[in-house]
Order: sequence, then structure tokens, then C-alpha cells
Amino acid sequence: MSPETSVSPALISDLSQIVGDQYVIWRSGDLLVYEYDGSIDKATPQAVVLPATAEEVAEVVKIANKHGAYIVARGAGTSLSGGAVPLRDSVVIALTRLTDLVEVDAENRVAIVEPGMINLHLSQQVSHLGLFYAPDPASQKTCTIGGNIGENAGGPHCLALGVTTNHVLGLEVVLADGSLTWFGGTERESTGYDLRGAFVGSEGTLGIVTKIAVRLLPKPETTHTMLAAFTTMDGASNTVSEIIAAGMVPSALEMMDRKTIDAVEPFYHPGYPDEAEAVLIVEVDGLKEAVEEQTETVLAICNKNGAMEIREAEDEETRAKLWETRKGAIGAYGTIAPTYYLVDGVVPRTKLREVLQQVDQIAAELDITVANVFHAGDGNIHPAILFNDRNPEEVKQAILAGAKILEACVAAGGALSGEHGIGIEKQAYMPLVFNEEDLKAMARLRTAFIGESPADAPIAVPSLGERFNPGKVFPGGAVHGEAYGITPESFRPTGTHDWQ
Amino acid sequence: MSHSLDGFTPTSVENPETLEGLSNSLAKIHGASLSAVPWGGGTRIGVGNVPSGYDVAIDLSSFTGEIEHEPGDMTVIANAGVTIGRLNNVLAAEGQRLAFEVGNPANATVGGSVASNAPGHRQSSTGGIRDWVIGMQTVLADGTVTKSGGRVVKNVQGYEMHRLNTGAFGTLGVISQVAFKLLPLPAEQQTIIAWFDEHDTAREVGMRFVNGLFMPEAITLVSGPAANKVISASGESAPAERTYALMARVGGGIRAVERQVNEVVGAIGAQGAIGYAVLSDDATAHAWNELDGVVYTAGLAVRFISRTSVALNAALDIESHPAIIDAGSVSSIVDLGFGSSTITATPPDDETVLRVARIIREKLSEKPGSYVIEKCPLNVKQDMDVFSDVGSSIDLMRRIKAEYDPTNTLNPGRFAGKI
Ligand SMILES: Cc1cc2nc3c(=O)[nH]c(=O)nc-3n(C[C@H](O)[C@H](O)[C@H](O)COP(=O)(O)OP(=O)(O)OC[C@H]3O[C@@H](n4cnc5c(N)ncnc54)[C@H](O)[C@@H]3O)c2cc1C
Repeated sequence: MSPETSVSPALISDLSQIVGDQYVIWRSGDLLVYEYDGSIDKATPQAVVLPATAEEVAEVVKIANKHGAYIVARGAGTSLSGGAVPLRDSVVIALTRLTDLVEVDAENRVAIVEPGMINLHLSQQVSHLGLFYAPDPASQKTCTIGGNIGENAGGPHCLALGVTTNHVLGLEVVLADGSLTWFGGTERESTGYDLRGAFVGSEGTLGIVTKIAVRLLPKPETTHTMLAAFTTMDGASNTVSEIIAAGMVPSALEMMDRKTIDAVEPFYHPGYPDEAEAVLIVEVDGLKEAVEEQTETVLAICNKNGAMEIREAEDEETRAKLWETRKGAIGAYGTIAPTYYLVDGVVPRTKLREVLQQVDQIAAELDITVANVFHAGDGNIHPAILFNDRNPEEVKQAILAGAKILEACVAAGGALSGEHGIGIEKQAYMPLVFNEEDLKAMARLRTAFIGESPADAPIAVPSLGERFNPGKVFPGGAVHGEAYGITPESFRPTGTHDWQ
Repeated sequence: MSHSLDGFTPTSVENPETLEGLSNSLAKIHGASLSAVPWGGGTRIGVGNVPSGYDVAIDLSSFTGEIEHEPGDMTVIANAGVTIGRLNNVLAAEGQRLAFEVGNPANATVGGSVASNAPGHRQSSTGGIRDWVIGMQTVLADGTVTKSGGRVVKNVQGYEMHRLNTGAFGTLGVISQVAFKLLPLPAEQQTIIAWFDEHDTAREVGMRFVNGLFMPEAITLVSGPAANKVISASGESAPAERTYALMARVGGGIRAVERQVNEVVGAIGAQGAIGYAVLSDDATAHAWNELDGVVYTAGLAVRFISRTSVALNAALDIESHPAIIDAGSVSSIVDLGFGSSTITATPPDDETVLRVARIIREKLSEKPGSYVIEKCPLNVKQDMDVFSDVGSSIDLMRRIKAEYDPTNTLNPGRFAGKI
């Protein structure tokens, strides 16, 4: 079989005219890396284009329209929900060549960046001005700010500072018809509907971001990091609740369980106590006096809840050491099993213990390994289901476990996702939280964005709504685990847990 | 409450108390092809263009229901008709508060504040309302009940319709219920007020904090008669000349507050303020309320949002315009943390207000940013869009309106671009 024949030569030739031959990828071997993201789903795109400017992105969208092709924007491809997996023979627009820092206004703490800029690079490039960009996904060394917009990404320090949407001032977007427009600007609030707020977290289904105006923050005077080991998960969970109840919002409040400790030990040799069942990282920052006051409170609560060991860091180097295991945890799961499926659910902070116990039960029932490393402060859990993707039975069990865990989260009054998005993974679960009217109302937004198909459009033009990133977010779009033989009927949770 | 607005008096008033009642009211209005204006406490009902139709007032002040406060999760869910003041009282009993402030909390409701994206002083540090809305229920024009978001502090599940409806002035649906993320009440709060005879000095001191060690809870640079008012309200005697008052409210633990006060006072002293005062609790409340009062009593109030330096320059530019100076007492209130300036004037008659409004609009249109005329007489509304131009995204906004309210039932013509 010659895979090249499935590609329309006219499409490739049109795309090459816009970006140049070397930036159009279409040979099957070259497409492999674009089949995946950070999730367990995959699909092969028709072609991948790497434009260099916003104008080129706009032209590429017009070409795709002309050929009736679906479009998927892609940043670094680290999405954990299948957000960047190109379904339905899409043309992938990879934004990795748009990496410029367009403007920094230190006096007003505003930056404008291109979507392909790596998250961490922004903070590095404004560091000499005493500023930083707050949203810090654990993947920040690789993920792009465009991808962060797509998923409304969070991170350890989003507890006090808020997630991506709270830091975005404006977006330059290529719409479905290939036109370029700005949503918002560089001011905190703009006239008219909050299109930037509607766009952030829309998972690439409404358009393609080509510039992003963000807020920067001044670096805090003092930062104090504490790491406490507990003999029980309960001790750690109670500590989390009591810190929140004490009327403080630390800058980060992260937890790791025993399995995660086991996974990181051989990599980083942190030497956590053998009896530790949970490790908590608490960071407070701000004025020296405020940090001192909060540190005292946190230490007292940790001790009260039976912390067996507490480590503290004032300086950057020690701090990096304390964070190392947390930041490297997901990578370290490779020592336990070949593949991980990182579930992202949210529960009310008061229900953390209860839901984590249910996660344990689900793992036991399905005889599957689950490790936990998560944003405890905001109740955002990340059970990592560890399995062997070469064993179809294990894959099924993993997906079933994910579904059950998410159902437990929403049943506890929580959410299907805190930061990884719905993507392919959770679209079938959306009815757990939203009824048909809710979903219809959301779909109307997409219709408004995508508009009517032009009268002279080729027959193949995607139906209304689904031009960008088809098969995502809305139920019925795609099947999570299809590549592993999962069918739509396999696991479709049936309950409803209306959050109201 | 009279439900007249911009020369219109509705033929009927609906007072729904339940979700079903609200949905039925809307279905009825929609079925009869009438147009409706939702009302909360009416504190910001005047913000917006002249309606293109107004048959029914939907008064939500009785739509209060239960307040669901989860102190352990620092979230609350409240119905549209609950006042911000009452909600904060409930939250305060557990040591928590809404992250945002609004003017006139005793009357302002949850629904009206969210729909009109009401500004407040704490936005210096915590930003606008939209950053604290985590979930929402709305009733569409035809009576369909929908929701988005969730009740947990962090959630990305589907499109954030709650962001779209925040600040949409009830043109896409009637907000019936909102879920908010909360903040703890600080142990201590203090306000420092300092006054300067040079604008640039006051500005420099203020900006140093905003971009430096810490962001005060609220930080505002006030000029014109409003400055004299807040100085007097603080129990100090205001200078006779034009003066610039810098107000900073700081909060936190006892030691942190002490440090912040010391930093602010130190900076003020070093820069040669004419005078300053550290205010008691009562004086603090009084001074900030006085500032809000300046806006309520003004004949004209325009709020411009931009990068802080642009907002500052715009205020200065407008205040020093000869025709505006002639027209009557002009003040500006610049939020240095948020980046907004509210320019107020009290011209003697409507004709002068219109002249001043035109100059302000012209000046602001030249600058990057957004503005809204928050307060003005009817003749100004009849002359211009009270919202700044939204630029190239206007077509998309019209399509959004058409998707959610194709019959133009809700607040027709009142929004940006006369949507
Ligand atoms: C080890 C690891 C740790 C992680 N930790 C975190 C974490 O702590 N917090 C967190 O929130 N996430 C985390 N993630 C998930 C992931 O990194 C984030 O979702 C990130 O925002 C994705 O960025 P990306 O550049 O890889 O985007 P991609 O995966 O390429 O794309 C993500 C989505 O955004 C869309 N998109 C991309 N670019 C654009 C654009 N220019 N315009 C419009 N849409 C676009 C895509 O279509 C897709 O739907 C982690 C992932 C990994 C692998």
C-alpha cells in the first residue's frame, strides 16, 4: 500500500505555496509523530503544515476550507485528553514556528506572545524585569502557551494565582473563514461579549490563536517551601483541609501518594521515610512577614496531623530539589508500567479523602495500579492509571477505571476536568454533568463561531460546527481508546450528577 | 420600585421567585413576541444604550432562594436576586468573602453585578468579577434553563458560557444562579491616604507599589474635587488647590499589614506628600464610600480600561482639556492595579454634558482600550453608543446574540454595538 495516494496532491500543492515545501508534511512515516499527544488515543492526519506567521495560518485555513478538510491546531502535543489527536483526516496546523515574544511592557506588566512559545520560556524571558507568567503546568518545559489557551491549563501555582483564563488579556484568532480578529486587547476588560473568556478552554474547536496578550506578575519578595511526609493519606488530606480552613490560600499545595514516592525514589533519591504514605508540598510567598505568619500556621497544622518529617527551603536550589520529585513524578511512572493514563478530575476540597478512598476501591476492584500526584489545594486529583498498552484487557480496564473515577468525582459534586480538558477522553462523560439543553447551548456558541458553510463550498466541507478539531468535547464525537478496540458501547456512564 | 428606563415604562412587571416561575415568565414573554429588561437591584440598570423595545420588566429581587455556602471548599452558589451585601454577611460568618466588591452592595444583586460586570475597588488586586465566577445557570429568552461550569474552584468542562454571560448585560440570557470561588477575610485591613500637589509624584509612588513589593488590596489615584472629598471624608482638611490623593488599602495578617503600612508611609514621606493619614476602620469605609458617591452623584461618568499608564495619561489629558474644565467639576479616579480610570463631571445642564461626553469619547477613541459611559442623561445615550467600538469582532458578537436570542427579546439594543 502506498499511503501517499490517500492524500490529495492538490491540497499539498496549495499548502506548499503558502508555507513552502519543507513545511508541509504528508508522507506517512513523517506523520507518525503527529498521530499522538499525551493521551492514549491516536489518529493519522492527512497532512501537517507548519506556518511561520499569523497570516500564513489564515491562508492555510482558507486552503483547508477550499479542500473541505478539517483542521486541528497543535502546540507541543502534550494534551492529556486527546485534544491534539487529529480525527477525521484533519490537516494539522502546528504552531511550533510561531515562538516570538512580540512585546513586553514592564511598566504595565503586559506581554504579547505567539502561540508556539513554550510556557516556561516566557517567564525566563521576562525574569530580568522581575516579572513572571503565573500559569505553570507541570509540562511547562515543553507545552506551548497556545496549547494552554486551548485547554485552559492550570498548574501547581494556580491555587492562589488562578488558571490560564485569569491571565489572558487578549487573543488574535484566525476564524473559520480565515479572517484574523482580536478578542479583547491588552486591557483587563474589554467592551462587548467576553470572547477571550469563551475561547480559552475551547480546546481548539472555535479557531486558531495566533497571538496572546497576557498579564505578568511581579516576583514575590519571599518564597518558603515546605515538604511534609505523613504516615497516612488521612493525615495529609486533613492538613490540606485545615490549611484552607485557617483562612489562607498558599501559592501551592501538592500531594503525592506512596506509589508515586516509590516511582520517584530511584530517579531522584529524595530519601523519603519508608513509612510515608503521603508527601505534601506547601509553598507560601509574598512579603516576608506574611510568609513568616503563614509558615508558622502551616507547620503547626502539619505537626498536629502527625507529619513525620518536614523539610524546608528558602533558596532556589533547595526549593528546586523539593519540587523535583513532584515535577518529575509523571515521567517516573515509567518504572512501574509501560503506559500511564493520567485522569484529571476535581472534587470539593472537603471530599478529597472520601474520593481518594473510592479511587483505591476502584483500582482494587479492577485489579489495576493507580498512583496519585495532584493539586490537593484545589481538589484537582490526577490518579495515574498504570498499565501495559500491549495488553488489550489492561487497556480496557484502564479506561473503565478512568470512567469510574470521573463518575465518582462528579458524584461528589466535582467536575470532569480541572485543567486537561474534555478532548476525546471525556466527551462521552459530558452527560454526567450536563443535560441536553446545556450541551445544546454550548454547541450554539460553536455554531456562532463557525458560521454557515459558504454557498460555493465543496460538498466535502465539514458540517456546521466541526471544522476545527472535530470529534472533541461534545458527546458522540469519538471513542476514547478506539485505537485499542474500544467501542462506544464499552463504557458509557449513565448517571447524572447535575452540579446544581 | 419603578421600572422605567430611558423614557420607557413597561406594560407589566414579572416577579418570579422560583426557577420555574422565571422560565415560565420568559416563555410567556417570548411567546407573545415582547421584549424584556431583567432587573436586579437597579443599581446599574442605567448602564447601557436606549432599548429598542421594552414591554416587560423581569424583577429578580425576589428570586433569592437558598444560599449554598461551602466554607471548606471556599465556594458559594447564590440566586440572582440575593444582594451582594447579604451574601457577604453570610460568608463573613465563616471568615470568608466574595473576592470582588461592588458599589452599593446593600442593593446590588448577584445577577445584576455579574451581568453588568460591576466594578469595585478590590479589582486592583483580585481582578474583575469574571475571574471568580466558576459556574452559572441562565435562562434563555425562550425559557430554556441551561448551565455551564461547576461548583468546584477549578473546572474546565465544555465551553465557559459563564464567562460569556459575565458582562453580557443580560442580552444572551437571564442569569438565574451563580457559583463563585471565594477568598478568606483578612485578619486586618488598613487604608492609607496621602495627598500630593504634583500628579507625577503621586503616580510614581503608586506605580512603585503596583509593580513592586506587593499589590495593595485596592490602590487608587484620585484627582479633582473627588480628591478633596475623600481627604475630608478621612477627617483631614483638604488643601484649597487642586490635589492628587493616593489611596491604598492593605490587608493580611497583623505583621504583614504593619509592614505594608510602613512601606507605604515610608514611600509617601520620601516623595514629599503634602499630608497623609492612616485610617481607622470607620474612616476607611467612609473614605471609599465617598469615592463611590462621587460616581453616583456625577452627571457624567465614563470608565476607561486600558494599560495603567494609558489610563493615567487619558485621565490627565481629559482633565486638562479647557472645554472640560470650563464645563464643571471634573474628577478622575484611576485604579492603578487594575488599569482603569473613571472620569466624572457635573456639568450644569444636559447640553453641556453632551458636549463634554463627545470630547471624552473623542479623546478615548484615540487610545488603545475600552470605555463605557456608566452614567449620563438620556440625550447622551441618544447621541452615541455608550460602549466603545468593539472592532472587528462585532460580526461574531452579533452572530452570538442571534444564536441565543434570535427574537431579540432580552435587553434589545442596549449592549455594545447596539446589540
Ligand atoms: C507530564 C505532563 C504534565 C502535565 N501537567 C499539566 C499541568 O500541571 N496542568 C495542566 O493544565 N496540564 C498539564 N499537562 C497537559 C498539557 O501539557 C496541557 O494541556 C498543555 O496546555 C497542552 O499544551 P500543548 O502545547 O502541548 O498543546 P497541544 O497538546 O498541542 O494542544 C492542546 C489543545 O489545544 C489546542 N491548541 C493548540 N494550539 C492552539 C492554538 N494556537 N489555537 C487554538 N487551539 C490550539 C489543540 O487543538 C488541542 O485541543 C501535562 C501534560 C504532561 C504530558
